[in-house]
Amino acid sequence: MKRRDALTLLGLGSLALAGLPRLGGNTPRKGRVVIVGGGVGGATLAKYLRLLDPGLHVTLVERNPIYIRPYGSTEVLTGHITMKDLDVTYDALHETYGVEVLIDAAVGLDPVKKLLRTAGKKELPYDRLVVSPGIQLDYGAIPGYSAQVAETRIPSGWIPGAQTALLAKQLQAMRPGGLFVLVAPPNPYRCPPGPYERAALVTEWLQRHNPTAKVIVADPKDAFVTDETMLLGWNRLYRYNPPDDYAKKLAAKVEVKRHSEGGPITWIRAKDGGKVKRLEAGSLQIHTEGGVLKADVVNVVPPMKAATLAFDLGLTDAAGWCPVDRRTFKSTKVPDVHVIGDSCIADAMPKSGFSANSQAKVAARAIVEELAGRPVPEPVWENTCYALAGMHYGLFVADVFRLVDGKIARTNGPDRYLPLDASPAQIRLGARYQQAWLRTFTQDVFE
Amino acid sequence: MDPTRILLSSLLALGMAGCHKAPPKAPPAPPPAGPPAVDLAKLPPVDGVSLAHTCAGCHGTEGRIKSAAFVSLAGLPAADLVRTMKDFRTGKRPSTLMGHVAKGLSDRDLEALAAYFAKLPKDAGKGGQP
Repeated sequence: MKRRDALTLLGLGSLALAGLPRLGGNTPRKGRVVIVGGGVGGATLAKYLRLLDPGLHVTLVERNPIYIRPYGSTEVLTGHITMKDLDVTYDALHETYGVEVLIDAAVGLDPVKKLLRTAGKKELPYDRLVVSPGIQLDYGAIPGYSAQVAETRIPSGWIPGAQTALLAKQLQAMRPGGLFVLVAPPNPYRCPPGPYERAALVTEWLQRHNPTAKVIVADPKDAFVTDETMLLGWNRLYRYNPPDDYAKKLAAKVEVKRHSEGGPITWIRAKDGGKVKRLEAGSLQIHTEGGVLKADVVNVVPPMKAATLAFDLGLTDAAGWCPVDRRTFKSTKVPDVHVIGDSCIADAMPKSGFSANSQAKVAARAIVEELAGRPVPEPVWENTCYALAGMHYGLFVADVFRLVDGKIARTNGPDRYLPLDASPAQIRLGARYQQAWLRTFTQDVFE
Repeated sequence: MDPTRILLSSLLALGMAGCHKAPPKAPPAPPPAGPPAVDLAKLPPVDGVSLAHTCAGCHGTEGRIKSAAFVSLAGLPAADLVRTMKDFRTGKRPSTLMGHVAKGLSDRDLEALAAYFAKLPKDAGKGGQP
């Protein structure tokens, strides 16, 4: 049973879990902002609105009383952390920052009266509505795959939860010498280095616990963010031989080992037949353009689009994402509504927690200044995606962004990755920073 | 031998040998180079608040963090922060990723950022309580 269902049974489904005393009273309010979605984007926005202007009345509407953080959730698969370690509460948003947290689901809006309607039959008036709904996984995009298959047989877990726990159980119970297949997604998707980090951490874990097991990444793409540094890490840690074109590029800058016998991990790119045509859930056969993989455990990261709520509220374009004015994150579809995070179109910014956090702060400033009748400040954004090729092998992509001709553009030039000639000490430090970031980032968003 | 293992090992061998059948139509290769470099000097100025917000994901809300890995920025003398960032940018001071970040910021940005953090108290109780 999901937590939300349990609450509904208790009759708490639509009650504000974190009561209202701080906000119910006499303080004159300078504006009402309602935020839908308590992920990284929505939570950051709620906190920063109240930091920037304690006079604002801020309500965060979120279906689940506990947030399960997706960043770092692969570590559950390898037993480095448990599912419980992913849980984040909204207590500090309420208690420290005075955000009204309403555990409820948005079902519709009235753009003229400026009201958000909820499943709990509430009508919340707003001066500004901010929607930060995240992604939905398009399970149906791969024939043979479905939400039902994902929940029972071939988990995804890209939105973490019961599927993450199921995948961990399957991996840990895999037969000796079994094959783990990770089906990578097409662009654009949440957490660009994530699927490759997951494959790497699973490989590292298998080397210790199931040393004859194999890992294959079946990919509909020919490249990915951090590919050179990640493949170099695999080369060093897992006897991985990069494809010839990568090996050549890497060898121009750094020593690449040629292993006479390949290691446990294989990346099958689109050009090598990696695109998956269909799955057979019963037999765990993965039909790719290059042939059939007979797997023992399969993890699918499906194609993605904006969350259902974005569609329901009329915020999406034909491609399934939400167009916005980049300076303010105001929807170009519905007035007085902003869209931030993975579901919005943000040009050069990846769909990442760090991006959502950065976008939330830009949107918060725009909202505060506009409601006060002042001009919107010039925005700046940042993103850092740390990723691991192994628990002690850290790499990253780091970018600064500015508004250029109405679009979000990178400003730091070609230098954005771990240098290929980074020293072992720098690489270990990157892994340490990745672990530290999981904590400091959660603090900036929720605490 | 287990038939699935035969299938797997032959498949792996095929994949390694590059004999994995190519897909019917390969998607066009992505453009090799990104957009032309942005001239930071030509962009409008950004204020210290917005710049500081971009640091907080690692260095803490309002530059205050209790972390063994990341430095608190609140209360740092402005000249020190500017010099450190410029040294990261040139590589004079080694970094993991701060050098990349410093390259995305102009000198004017660094000065606005540093002036903002310099004014913040080092310790303001819990976070930046409103």
